[in-house]
Amino acid sequence: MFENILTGLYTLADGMMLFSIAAGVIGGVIVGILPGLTSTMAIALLIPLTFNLPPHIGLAMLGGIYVASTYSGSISAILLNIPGTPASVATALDGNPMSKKGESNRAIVLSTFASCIGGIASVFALLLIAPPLAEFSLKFGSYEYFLLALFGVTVIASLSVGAIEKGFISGALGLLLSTIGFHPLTGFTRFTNDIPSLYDGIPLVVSLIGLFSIPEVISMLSTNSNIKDETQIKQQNNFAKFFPEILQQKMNILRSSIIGIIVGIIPGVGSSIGGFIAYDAAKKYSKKPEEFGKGSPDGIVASETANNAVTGGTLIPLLTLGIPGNPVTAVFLGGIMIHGLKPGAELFTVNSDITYGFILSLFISNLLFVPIGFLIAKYFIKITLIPYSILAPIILCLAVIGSYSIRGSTDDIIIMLFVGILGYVLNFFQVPRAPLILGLVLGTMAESELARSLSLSHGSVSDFFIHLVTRPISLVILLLCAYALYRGFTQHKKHNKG
Amino acid sequence: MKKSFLSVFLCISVLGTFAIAKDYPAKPVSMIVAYSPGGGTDTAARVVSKYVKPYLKQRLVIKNKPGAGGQIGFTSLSTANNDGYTIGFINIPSIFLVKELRKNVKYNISDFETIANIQLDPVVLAVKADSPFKTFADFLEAAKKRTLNIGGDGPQSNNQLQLLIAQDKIGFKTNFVPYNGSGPSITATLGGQIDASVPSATSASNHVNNGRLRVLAVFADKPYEYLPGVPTISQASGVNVPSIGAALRGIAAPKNISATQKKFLENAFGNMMKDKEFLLYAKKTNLPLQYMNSIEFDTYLKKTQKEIKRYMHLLK
Amino acid sequence: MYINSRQRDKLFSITIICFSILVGFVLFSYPIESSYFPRFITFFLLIMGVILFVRSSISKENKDTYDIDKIEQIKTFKVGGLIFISLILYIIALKNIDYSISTIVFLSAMMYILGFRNLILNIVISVGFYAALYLIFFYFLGISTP
Repeated sequence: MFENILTGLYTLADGMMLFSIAAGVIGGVIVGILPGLTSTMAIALLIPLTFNLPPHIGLAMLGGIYVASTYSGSISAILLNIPGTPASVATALDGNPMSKKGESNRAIVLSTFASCIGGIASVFALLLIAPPLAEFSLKFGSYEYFLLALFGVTVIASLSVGAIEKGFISGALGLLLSTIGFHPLTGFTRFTNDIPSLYDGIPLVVSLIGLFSIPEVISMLSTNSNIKDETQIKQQNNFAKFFPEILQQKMNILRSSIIGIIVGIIPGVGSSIGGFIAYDAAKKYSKKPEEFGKGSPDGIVASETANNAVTGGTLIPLLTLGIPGNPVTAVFLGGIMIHGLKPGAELFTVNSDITYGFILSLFISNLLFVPIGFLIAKYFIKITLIPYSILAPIILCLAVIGSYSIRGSTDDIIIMLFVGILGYVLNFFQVPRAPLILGLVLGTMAESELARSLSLSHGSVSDFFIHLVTRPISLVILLLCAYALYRGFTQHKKHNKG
Repeated sequence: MKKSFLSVFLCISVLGTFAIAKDYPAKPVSMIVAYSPGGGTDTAARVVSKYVKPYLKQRLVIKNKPGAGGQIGFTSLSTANNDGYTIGFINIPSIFLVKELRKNVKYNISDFETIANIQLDPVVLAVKADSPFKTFADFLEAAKKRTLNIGGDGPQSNNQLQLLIAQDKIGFKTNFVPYNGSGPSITATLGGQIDASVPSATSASNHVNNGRLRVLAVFADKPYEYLPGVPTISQASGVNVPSIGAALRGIAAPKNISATQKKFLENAFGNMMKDKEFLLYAKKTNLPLQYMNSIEFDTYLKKTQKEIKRYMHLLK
Repeated sequence: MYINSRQRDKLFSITIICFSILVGFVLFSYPIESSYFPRFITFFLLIMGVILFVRSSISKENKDTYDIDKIEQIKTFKVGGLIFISLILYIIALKNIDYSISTIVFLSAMMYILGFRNLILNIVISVGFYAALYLIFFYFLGISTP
């Protein structure tokens, strides 16, 4: 173990290596801030560039992008209420209200340090206990995934401010939207009108852009509070001041890190769900749950810690078993294989210098995005001072090119426009939009895993239920679902009375 | 002013046509890939783009047109300009399956002109390393006693088709459970969620090397070079099973591309397939290469098309 | 024409009820094995719509719980219309004319319409922003232009 870490350190102590980490982190922060650019796309398109670099340097750069972009989606979520990545949707729920109160810096400091700590915790897990965690990840079958999706749905109640019915409607709309396209098992196409661009459903990032960018532009142009208080922002241009606050969040950070790592190692779940579940847990354990959605620091910290803890988690099954857990790591796998490296035991023995160098580089990446994030945020904060007449067209342009570039298809711009209209309507009716994103993320998983579980039970519904309660992990998740519902109801009741 | 502008314009356009006629390619050639960046097909395309450069004497630019299981990309290749500057990476048999199984597919197989085939990735039958099925015979015996759950990319994929053809020929039945790609079906196999899976050979080989997966048979006419010792399905079962489910990745152009350009491209890719560095790289990364020149590729295409039509009823 | 929050809830619930009935009809034309999941969701949507409708009808409190004023609400309609129409024009332009030209024109026209009247700075920002877009998306990431 220790000699491996030493060889890793040796790999790391290379000027070129540090340079590529820095380049990756800077690129990643930019990619994360821009709503149309995803880390998956950036990494996929940069792999040919890293082709000619030595593998450890290429991987370190890709790692920097991955980690930094997962963090920096929160910057645009906080300042503009436009999540830069699906992972920062939960951050926007409290980050933006806090920023609107004139505390942008506080929100950014909280999200930055939370991301950093969550990321580092997950890299420790990757470094020290990866093999047993990877074995655990294999225990998840379709039954567990289906229940996990159900558990995710229980989070909706926590994401809804105001009438709870509206939150459920929003979540159900998301689940329904996710059923557009092929049925995952029969291949039957639904709601597509024979338009091939709809066969695979609506790309998540396209709907994220439509749902947030467009309505935000409209609401920023129609509010009358265009006068901005520059002095207020300047006054607290002191990031260090808010650092002690993060130390008060020890339990929250610990819980969210664990949630993030677990969600990360389960293949196919993803960072946005990690953020949502941690947010929900933080709200359930918080002494002031009523502050959530109105600028609660706990909410920001929970979501950001967890979504960055997911990053290290997803790399665990990837490096130890060669199983990619999300689109980013699937691309990563390609990036590893293109260098002739083979994920699995060989990576930790024959190529241990590269592997440990890469893992250690993730520590640096996670630390490095703190100063780089602050530096970029310092200028990005001034965006709120740009007149809306300039900012709005720029956001619209980014929305258009962003939705185009996901699949290189102009049809996606039109899809984005339709989702934008939906977002505008929801915004007008004061319906929360975060549950819709959650529904979209969970919908495909819920539907396909339910269908697959039924198929695995040879179509017998009773066998299906027997499997649900006899498989150990599935039973645990089932109990968690029941507990979440119970907690949700009691809290909702208390809230309504008080 | 206007006049000089016009003459400059004329000059440029004349030079332009001149360049095309004289030395093709005069600018980078773009290659449509019908799958998203980072996927297996895309990665293969990017490797090809790197190694073909010295022979193409221009850059080969990848244009991803993903979606609908390749339909969007194949359609856009079929309608692309046939000036020799747009070619595509096509996947067989996906290109047939999409055409046969869906309504409103705008391309025809005759819209493409074959250039060269690069890869052949057969389907394999894989089980977990500690599975009781040691050989295909064990598997077959169990499959005849109870309904086994077999995972694989799907639905309506080449993997499923291959399994169904084998079942039809050998005479057994299974419960095919579609997964979102070969990768997830392997994950489910490793976790013991299913009895076996039918992934592509490339995605299985790394797990076999790690000692976690065992391949019982390769659905191909000859053994797979990166899985030594694994019998072909015909050897293992004693029945002749056609291997049309194997995935081919090759280069094609929109039809009616000029003969000289076609010849040039064919030579460029043909030479790349003999390039020492490329071969070395392919070996290192377990890329299953299978060169076919334009005519061989075309023959294979026509033969497979006929056979697939014969087995299509199995998928419906 | 001002709609207060109670009326808004009511209107929304009616929209949802109509929508779920419509979707329900489409879904029942699909085979059951490919549509049981969306059918269930749509049924849930319908129930939630009805509950919201009942709640917003019986709720006595008539005070507006949301801080949107009358002028703002009307402005929302106007701005929404403007944004969607301009986006549609922009999409048509970039599909049929050229991405770079339509983007620069869209940027400067929108800025002008939204009240940024400094023409020189307007053009500088439009071209400058387009250059940045070009650099990141098309040059560095190598995405092909629309």
